[in-house]
Amino acid sequence: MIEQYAGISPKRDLLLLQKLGQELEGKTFLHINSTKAGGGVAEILQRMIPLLQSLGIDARWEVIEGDQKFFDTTKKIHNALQGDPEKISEKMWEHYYEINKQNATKLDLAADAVLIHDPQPAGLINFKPKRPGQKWLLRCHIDVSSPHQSVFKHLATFCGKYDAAIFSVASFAKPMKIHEYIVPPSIDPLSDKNKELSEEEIRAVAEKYDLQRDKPMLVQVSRFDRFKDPLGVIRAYRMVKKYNDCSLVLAGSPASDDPEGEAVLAEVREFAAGDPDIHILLLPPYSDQDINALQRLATVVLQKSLKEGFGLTVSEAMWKGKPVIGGAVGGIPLQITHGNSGFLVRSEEGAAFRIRQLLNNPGMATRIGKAAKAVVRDNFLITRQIRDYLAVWYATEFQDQGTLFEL
Amino acid sequence: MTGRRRPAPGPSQARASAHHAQSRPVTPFPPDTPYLSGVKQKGYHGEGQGITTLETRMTQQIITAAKNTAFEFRDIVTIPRSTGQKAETLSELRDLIAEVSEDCIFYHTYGYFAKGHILEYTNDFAQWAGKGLEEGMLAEHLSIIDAFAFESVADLRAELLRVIDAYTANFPEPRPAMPGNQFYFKEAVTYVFPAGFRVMNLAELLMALKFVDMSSIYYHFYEARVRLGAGEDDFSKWVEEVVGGPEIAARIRAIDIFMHNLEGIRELLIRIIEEELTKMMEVLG
Repeated sequence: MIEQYAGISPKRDLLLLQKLGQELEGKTFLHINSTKAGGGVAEILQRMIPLLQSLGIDARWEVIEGDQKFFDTTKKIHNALQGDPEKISEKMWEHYYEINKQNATKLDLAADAVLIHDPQPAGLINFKPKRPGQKWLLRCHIDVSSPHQSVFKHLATFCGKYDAAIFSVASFAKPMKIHEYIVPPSIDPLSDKNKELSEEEIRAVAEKYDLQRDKPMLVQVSRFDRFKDPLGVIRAYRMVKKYNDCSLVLAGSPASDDPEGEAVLAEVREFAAGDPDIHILLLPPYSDQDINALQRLATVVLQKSLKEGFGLTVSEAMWKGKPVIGGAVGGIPLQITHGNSGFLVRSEEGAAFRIRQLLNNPGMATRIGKAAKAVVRDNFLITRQIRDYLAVWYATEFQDQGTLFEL
Repeated sequence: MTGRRRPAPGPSQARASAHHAQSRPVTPFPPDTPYLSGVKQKGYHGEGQGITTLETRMTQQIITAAKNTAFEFRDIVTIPRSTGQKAETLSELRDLIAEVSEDCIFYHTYGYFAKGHILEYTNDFAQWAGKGLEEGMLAEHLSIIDAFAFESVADLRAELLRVIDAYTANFPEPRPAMPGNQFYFKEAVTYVFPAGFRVMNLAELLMALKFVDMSSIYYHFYEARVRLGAGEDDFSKWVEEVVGGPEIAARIRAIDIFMHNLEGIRELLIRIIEEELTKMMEVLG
């Protein structure tokens, strides 16, 4: 299976994957999260488990079960870790532990390494079976750079029981008594959203959404959410339009967990009304290949977020060799080196200025797009992320043997 | 090689003493790889002394050296680890530099060159002083520090502190870094493994250099200086000791390692070897 990535991912990542696979061959690696479908974690796990198995590792994936009350509580925990002032009562914590305890009994936790994804199943560590040598790793996908303190402190009381923790970005990590590894998220170059498309497939999507290709196209793919600043993108486009003819595509779906989503979409539609060169596309679920084609149709891709988690849509567009203009927030600066592999902006004016620069310098756009693709290949492909998980497990397994391993 | 686990000393142990020529704890290659310190014992220097013309040297290279002198490329991968500590101000940076692990100092100085792209300065501390604190002069002072010139990480740490202290003695404390722009102290776990390329002569080295991963260039050109000390790198050492090309080795050693990114180093190595091979090809029989 790993052969599918030969010639796409860096050979060094595939070689290390093979080496670590040989070292850990036959061992059991259990992943636990809270949903089988939906969200980036499930997406990566669906791809990762068979890949790990193909390397000779006995990888499994379990999902915890809980009632509405449990998931309401974990949603609040999630929000609190992102900084919202949520209050988790003693009773809610008790229920959280109770559900984790029930899952610890139901699930087969026998494995050489257990990787827990996010806070929902994190409490399982309190009820783990006694198994000598078993390693428990906690993967936090959430931005915990400014967490609500009381919730964070409560979780910290048992997170220290893990053998190691994994964060996406260094700024998310906090002083703890266990090792904290930095493993950024990734995209799958073979998925519908990122695979190569033929010219016919791209043209079909342009026709489906009635997009003309006779002028440069600016594209932002993201849900209709104020933090993605769709109105700011339209204002930037209008500043550009005075000098350079172009079209704008805002594509996404309303955020299902955001009650403001519908209102934002209505505002965007109203603000864009009357301009035939602005296309507001409401994409249904499972539109991955359409998103892929839209990014490939773009002359310039925007991700003008005001607040962002990691912002993997940036890597998706960069992987297609597109120059991306991103807001200098969240994980976007980790993906874009300003002026080299894209542009970072802090205002609508900044976005407009960089769009004009790129539209007027096709050579610059090509150079930046090429550098952008190289950055993603080197840092943000799924093979690198799986490599890192195995490397963290291996380093934890042999942590008494230093920090330099020759394989 | 597969299935063999050879735990190596941690960077702090290995690297802190790596510059002491008498006690190098880490060899450039594991004992069972073709090219290692055994070269001298097998008398390749002795054979090399008998080669006096470019023509015979060329013959040596094209026909290939003995099997056990092959240069095996290795890749290096580091997985960063947060220390959980961060600095917002210069004085916090200074105090944390004084107390963090040697692995952490190593990561932000020697490890800086593993980045594919070159930034304005030459280590993470200088980069942050320049971009995070906007203290250009301090960034320049920190940037001129040659990490590879120090006997140990402890000495390098002392120099970093000396430069910051000298600066703060003369200038007021700069404003704190903007939110989100703090300095995060990291260290790393490192994996070294064969890259799947083995070359026997200069022509093969030239070809391989065009294709090897950037991490191989970092390992053999930058990281090697910590392992071997005294401005040595794996390429010039192999070329000198095995191929018998002191001029080429000297040209490789003369590269200013601070002024190029890894791609630039690759291009320079290719250019040097190509030029030398061309010279050899043009020698009349």
